[in-house]
Amino acid sequence: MEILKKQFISYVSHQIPEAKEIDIKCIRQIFGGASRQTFSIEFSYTLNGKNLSQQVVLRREFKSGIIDTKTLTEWEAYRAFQNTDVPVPKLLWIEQDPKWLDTPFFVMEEITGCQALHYQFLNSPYKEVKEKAGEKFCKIMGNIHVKDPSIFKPGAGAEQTMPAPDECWKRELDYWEKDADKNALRPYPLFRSAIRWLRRNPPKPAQKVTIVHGDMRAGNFLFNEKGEIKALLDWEMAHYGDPLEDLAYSLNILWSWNDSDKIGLMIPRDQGIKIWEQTTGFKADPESLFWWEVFTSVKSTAIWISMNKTYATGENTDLIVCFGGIWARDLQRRILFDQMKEARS
Amino acid sequence: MRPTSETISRTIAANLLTNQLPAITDDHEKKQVALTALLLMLVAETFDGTAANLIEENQSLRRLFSSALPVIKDNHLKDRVKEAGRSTDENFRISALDKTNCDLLTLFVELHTYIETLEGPDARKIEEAIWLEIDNYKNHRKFMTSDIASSLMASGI
Repeated sequence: MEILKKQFISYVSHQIPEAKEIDIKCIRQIFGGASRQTFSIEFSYTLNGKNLSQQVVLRREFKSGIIDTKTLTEWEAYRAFQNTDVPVPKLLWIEQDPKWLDTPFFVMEEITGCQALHYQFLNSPYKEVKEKAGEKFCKIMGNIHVKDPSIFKPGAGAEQTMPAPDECWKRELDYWEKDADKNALRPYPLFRSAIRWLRRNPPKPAQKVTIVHGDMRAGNFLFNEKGEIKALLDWEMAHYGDPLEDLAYSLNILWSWNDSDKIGLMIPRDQGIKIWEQTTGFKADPESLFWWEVFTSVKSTAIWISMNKTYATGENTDLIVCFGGIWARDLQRRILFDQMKEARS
Repeated sequence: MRPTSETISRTIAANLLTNQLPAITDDHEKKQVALTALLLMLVAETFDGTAANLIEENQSLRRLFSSALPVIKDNHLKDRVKEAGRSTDENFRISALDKTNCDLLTLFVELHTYIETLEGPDARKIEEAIWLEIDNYKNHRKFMTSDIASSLMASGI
């Protein structure tokens, strides 16, 4: 941490050349994510005689990222939604040059007085505001999908072109099947049969190609005791696609295991779907939505497979990577089996 | 060995959860201890049954392969399925059983893909047997520890 402190002070000095007496008051790592290192940093400095301090979040890539994410995509997504009805943290700096902190990173203002652990919706005081938060979550999701997609430019290395409405499903399925092929440590018969079913039974074309968050779920937004959602986070998988992908992803029972008919332990799924429909003007066609829910299980499984591999090969030996990969694989497998049973009936 | 690896893992996990965890205030340290306990519980849960599950699974796959032979028209696939159906487990180390399991499952995925392309009640019957096998596969990898973890998360850890 001492090295990081010195590196960060050096960077602040580079960004604010007039700043003097730059000091780090507090630095702590925020654990939980598996694809980035995240730190909360409070630093102070004097500028034109004034004593100033800032609380920021530093997000930097691991040397070996678990998923094929691009820091720039996440930055571009945050940038696209600054000062809109999709709450995101305020951005400060992005840096691609590894000379400062060894890997690319970006810095944004920290939102305090909130938390991301959605399991708190099972306990007071958050239990009392879970409905409000759930309604807001679904509305924000809809707000993303009605935006002009051209405001967002995926980062270099990510797919830049917009798919045709009938291509959205194939582009995503091809990507995640290829990802699983690259990372598989053993055969996955249920996973493979689901992919074949998805290919044989494509959904209806997207009603509109929109910005898709890509990881739209409880656990990826900051909320407070009033049930307000202050920021939607983790945009590294953002892309152009079918908005039903996000809606289906948000319905994944994995994130509502203790109360499975809810969206992220918040509101009933039918209520959430209705709010999204009212916000977007789109229709959640049941068959297409089911397709995207099966896809969600496939995509999620591919992500857990990559986590398993990252731990097994020693690339990332954080305990959360090990246990998260195993726990999520187990539960997602149960979900996918039930989905395939329904698909076959 | 006594106590067994299962007992050692389970006891350490219980100790971490009941004695160490309540005394820790730092959020990150709490999570690390909880994760360590959960991983030890997982090891304990899988230790005793892994070999038996793999042997049972391998035998079941072989039986299925033998029963599928009459519907396979692709001779190359048929030969490989026939040979796999006749194979046996010779080495009972978990690593060896697991390798055989992976080889059998790779062929199982290929067989399933092929059967899906066939018409007729015989193919459908084999497909039902395949899905029973997938159900067993899922159940062999269903961990009580996963459900305990979900409960722990619900309690704020």
